[in-house]
Amino acid sequence: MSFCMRLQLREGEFYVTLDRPVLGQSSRFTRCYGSSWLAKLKLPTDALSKPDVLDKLKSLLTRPLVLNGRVFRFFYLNKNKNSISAYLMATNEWYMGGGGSLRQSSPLNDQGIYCSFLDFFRKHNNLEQNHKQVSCTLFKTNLV
Amino acid sequence: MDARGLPWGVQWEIARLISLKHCEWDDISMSALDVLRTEGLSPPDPDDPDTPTSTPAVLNAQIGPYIEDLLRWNKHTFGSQRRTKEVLSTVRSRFPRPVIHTNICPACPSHLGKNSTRRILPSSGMALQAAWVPHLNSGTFTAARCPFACGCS
Repeated sequence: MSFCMRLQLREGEFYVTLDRPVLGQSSRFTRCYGSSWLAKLKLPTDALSKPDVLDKLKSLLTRPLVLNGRVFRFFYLNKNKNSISAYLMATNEWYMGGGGSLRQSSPLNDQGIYCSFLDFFRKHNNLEQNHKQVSCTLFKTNLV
Repeated sequence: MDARGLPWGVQWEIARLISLKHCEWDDISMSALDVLRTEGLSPPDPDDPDTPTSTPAVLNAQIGPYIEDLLRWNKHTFGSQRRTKEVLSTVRSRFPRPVIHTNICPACPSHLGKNSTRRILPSSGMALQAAWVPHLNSGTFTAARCPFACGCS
């Protein structure tokens, strides 16, 4: 299953709307962590051309996205000719609400499904083992 | 939602309705979540309906298409509505999809030109194979035992 969201810009503010879940393509990560681990956020194509909107987008994506208590964090950006999509991963954090604090162990993490943001990169793309790797699309677009 | 065992697909559908302003968080009452939980439990095993499953789980496909009816219009239409093509394309079917098995009858001199392709379930196709392969190996295969009903005689 593919869980997709759309980011819309209305009067200078961002609004996120969710799409209906559809059968989508599989990937190595969704086979490893489950399809609910990944959320795709489609960005407006004209947003990156405006500096002020780009700054807002940076501050939005660097913050965690909480959806029904589950915490998603931005980790990859895919840029095509027609669309720009940001991929968010579910972490082992859990938002309890109210005080704004994130708990480090979510109920799903008790089953050993999700990991933290740093553990994910340490496992799949350890920067200590390859610190000379080519910069990815994320840095080419100066998004972060 | 997690305490009621609602899967992520159901939680996503609820969040989707709220993001589209189709309903508010106030509409998501505990009683509505209880209805989603009780209606979405997995059905008994069709192969063994007498044995109840030990831990029935809530299935996305069972309640996903009807969440909007319940939350927006308070309609209790679980399982009584005909699913649209859009809904069918977004949920997984719990029944096995029929596949095409090509039955090539060994008694017929050639299967070319014959309509020997039938759409059957995989379990039936495997049963057919299990029926004729021992006879074929033992050399006792006759047209009278032809399981394909291809018309050879």
